[in-house]
Amino acid sequence: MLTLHPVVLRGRTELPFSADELSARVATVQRELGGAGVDALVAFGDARSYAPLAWVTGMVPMLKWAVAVVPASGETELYSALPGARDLRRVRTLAHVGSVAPIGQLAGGLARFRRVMVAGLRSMRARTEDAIRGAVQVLDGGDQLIDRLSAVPSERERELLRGASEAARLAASETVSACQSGAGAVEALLRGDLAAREAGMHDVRVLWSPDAGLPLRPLAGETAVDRDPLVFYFAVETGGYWGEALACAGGPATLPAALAPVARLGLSVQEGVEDQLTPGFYSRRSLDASGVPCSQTIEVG
Amino acid sequence: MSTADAALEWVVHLHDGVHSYLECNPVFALTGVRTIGEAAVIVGRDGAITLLAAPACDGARLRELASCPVLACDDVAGELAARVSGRVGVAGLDDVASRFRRALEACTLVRLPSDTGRAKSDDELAAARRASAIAEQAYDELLGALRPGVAEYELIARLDVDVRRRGADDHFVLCSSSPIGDNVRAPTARRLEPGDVVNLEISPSVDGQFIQICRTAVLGRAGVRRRADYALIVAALAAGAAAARPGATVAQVVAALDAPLIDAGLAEYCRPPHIRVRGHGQGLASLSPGDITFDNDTVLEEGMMFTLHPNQRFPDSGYMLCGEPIVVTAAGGVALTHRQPGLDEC
Repeated sequence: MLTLHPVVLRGRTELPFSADELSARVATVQRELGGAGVDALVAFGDARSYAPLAWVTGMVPMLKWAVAVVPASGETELYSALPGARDLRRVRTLAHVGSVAPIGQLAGGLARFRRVMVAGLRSMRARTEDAIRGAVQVLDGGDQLIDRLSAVPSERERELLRGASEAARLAASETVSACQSGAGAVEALLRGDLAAREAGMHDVRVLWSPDAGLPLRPLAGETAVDRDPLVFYFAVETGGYWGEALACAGGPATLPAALAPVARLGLSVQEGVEDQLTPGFYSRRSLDASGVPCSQTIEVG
Repeated sequence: MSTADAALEWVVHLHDGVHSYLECNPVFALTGVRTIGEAAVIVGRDGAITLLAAPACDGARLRELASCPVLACDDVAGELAARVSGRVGVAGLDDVASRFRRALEACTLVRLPSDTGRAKSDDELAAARRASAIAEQAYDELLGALRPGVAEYELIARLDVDVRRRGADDHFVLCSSSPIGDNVRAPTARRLEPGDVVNLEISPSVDGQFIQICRTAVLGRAGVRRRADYALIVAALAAGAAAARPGATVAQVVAALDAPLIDAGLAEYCRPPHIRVRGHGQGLASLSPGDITFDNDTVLEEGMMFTLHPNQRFPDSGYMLCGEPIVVTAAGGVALTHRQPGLDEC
């Protein structure tokens, strides 16, 4: 999601899948590694970009980043960049992985391997990449492996996507209702945000147009703004899966300036949306953790 | 660090756009902007500052907010490579993706620290005061919502939105609820029960300046033992604050803070793993004076600001929180908050 990253992910936090599912995913990865003659997969994820880590372990880092090491045989290990022993106890609550160690121990943990694949290199911090490359030979193909394994969402994942989409729609609906009842733009957006969080979403992002027609931007401490029309966008996440909603409240808004950044954000411009954004909801698009659309719904309210 | 130092032709500060309460964001410190993506601030020999930041579509917002010229682009590393050469001072190189290292491989690099700040500016202190007021008001409001049956995440959702409704631009918040006080963490689906100890770290920011208050509330009556234990950490906070004078070291502040607890036989509980730190600097800009620990010899200066929190585990009462944002003055550390620290009963 190309939105402003909050300092901490602070919505409902729980283990996204069972220990059995973790075992099944790890087993799938291990079969692939064995078939390719690779010693381990190193899956990176930070609080913003976490697809490889989240697909393998279910973990979405609330702060900083973490690395999962899945050996071709044996137990999966997590290495966290959080600073203290007390923080590592928190990390143990975010995934069913029994071994959690500080990121400083990653190089030592990899020393028993010779050749590894790495997924998430593009987002990985240089110092972590240095630690990996200093310990083992890094082979290409880690990201492609995760992409291939995650291409077809399970029913559980589709349920998460449906939930995220519903929560995004709920947030947009609450915002529109608040506008209709006379609330200012910021208050209306905050009510939508609250609705998504109370619906159990782990992460909620809001973009809006403070002056209809300008590119959408994050809320930044504004307290009282009246905007008619109000063009806004919600992205909400649960278990690592996102739902989105773009909506307009009040009068019609001029395109394409308002939508250009939204399209850039990965939200497709729906057929039938041409020159003007009239009041209502325009799209709900579900994405999996790798950004691949799983379902797409067009709704004009 | 300026280019005059070490005969540098350029100084570059890098940030990955993943904003952290625990780390200095030099891009924000130099430009006043929180970027959506990766960013680089380039300082030339003439002192001119330029912000390179991703994504390109965020350009209008960045140009409106930044105190310097902005190039919004989708390839910050590539644009950086095209703009700097020769002897370059660089900060943050290890904490961004390695493509930045590759972008600068033709340069002679001099590694610089990301955080060179000291005391807070008048604007930062003013923002901190506003943030402190928001935290206190939101906490008072939250006390009315603490009741059995409400889920942790519902509680934090209401607190978070309330904080932002009052004008915060971001919010770092952790919580816990349990029959015996527990370490704070992200909110879960656990529903509050009578007698629960609710611990909260509430850390709003105004104009990118964070503060933190740490609070403990009990759903019901706290009990004599718990009240006595909490009184100890209130005394510890007062002792630590009194020691926070210009010329004292952070370690001396911690020693003063720990003294009432050690005198009460809790020496073992005043060190890791029972605690991490006794406080910390407040970002997004400088985190000076750093973590408030027994081994931090940073000398305090007037105007430095940090959270002082003798959050403490007790053998009988579990973990409880007490913390305030403190400014160093000649008369000792002065809290930016207004209420006297105390254990709340709901």
